[in-house]
Amino acid sequence: MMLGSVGKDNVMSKTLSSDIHQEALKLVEANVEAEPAIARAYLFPSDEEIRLIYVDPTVGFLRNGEAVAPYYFGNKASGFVYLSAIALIRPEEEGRAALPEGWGDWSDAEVVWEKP
Amino acid sequence: MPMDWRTAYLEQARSDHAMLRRLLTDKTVPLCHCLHYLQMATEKLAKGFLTQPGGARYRRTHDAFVNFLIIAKGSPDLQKACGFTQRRVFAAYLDSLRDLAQDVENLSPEGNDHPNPEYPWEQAGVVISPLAYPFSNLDLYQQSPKMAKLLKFIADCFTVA
Repeated sequence: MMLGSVGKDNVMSKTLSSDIHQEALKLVEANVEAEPAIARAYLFPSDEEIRLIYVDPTVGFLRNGEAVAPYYFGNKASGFVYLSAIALIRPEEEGRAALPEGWGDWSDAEVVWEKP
Repeated sequence: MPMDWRTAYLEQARSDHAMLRRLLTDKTVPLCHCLHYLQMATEKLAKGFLTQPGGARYRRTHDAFVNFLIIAKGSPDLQKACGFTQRRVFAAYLDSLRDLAQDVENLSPEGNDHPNPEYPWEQAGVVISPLAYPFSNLDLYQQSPKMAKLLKFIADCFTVA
């Protein structure tokens, strides 16, 4: 399993705190273990919540012009501090799909996991 | 007290689910009405989780529940609420529900004519009413183990929503 910044020499995003980054990696580890179809995980910068997009070829297509829609989970009962916002897209949408408001651009994202 | 969109969706989903449970106690209620509440409860449950706390209204419609099952695998709180200590077992449990969840998601009347619990549709020149359609893969009265699992999962989701 490859966890950390892929292809960026593990340089952490400037706008991502160490805590949120560590918690995000734990969550990604849990998610990719649970869902073998996930091919790649993108982490978007935020100091308030964990923002993840998973690339998964088994999910449906976004409709025309539709932005990526994350599901929001509170995880405090399990020892996680941050709210998580997690979305699924297909490989064809990677780097192209419109992002939720406030998430920035695809170039702001960090690939934190890739299927070996 | 003002309510945000997430809370409102989840509250309405809870109420849909409660209505479903009440309907299921009366075997004279046509299956389509139970399925209608099941479809609405799952749709709103998923939309609730798709709405940021305090955030704007979620606009996409109807096709949120299957993806919710995939994403739910990564929620430690949901895993705990469903009573699983091992992540892999929880994931397998959710995988086992995916086909049935897709069938429930497909009950939405949106799109071309197709079997749904709300509106009549036409098939090969024949008009069919939901009341007359058997929905044999989704029989809530003769609950399959998978349907029972799905209903329990929905109830468990409300404990962390």
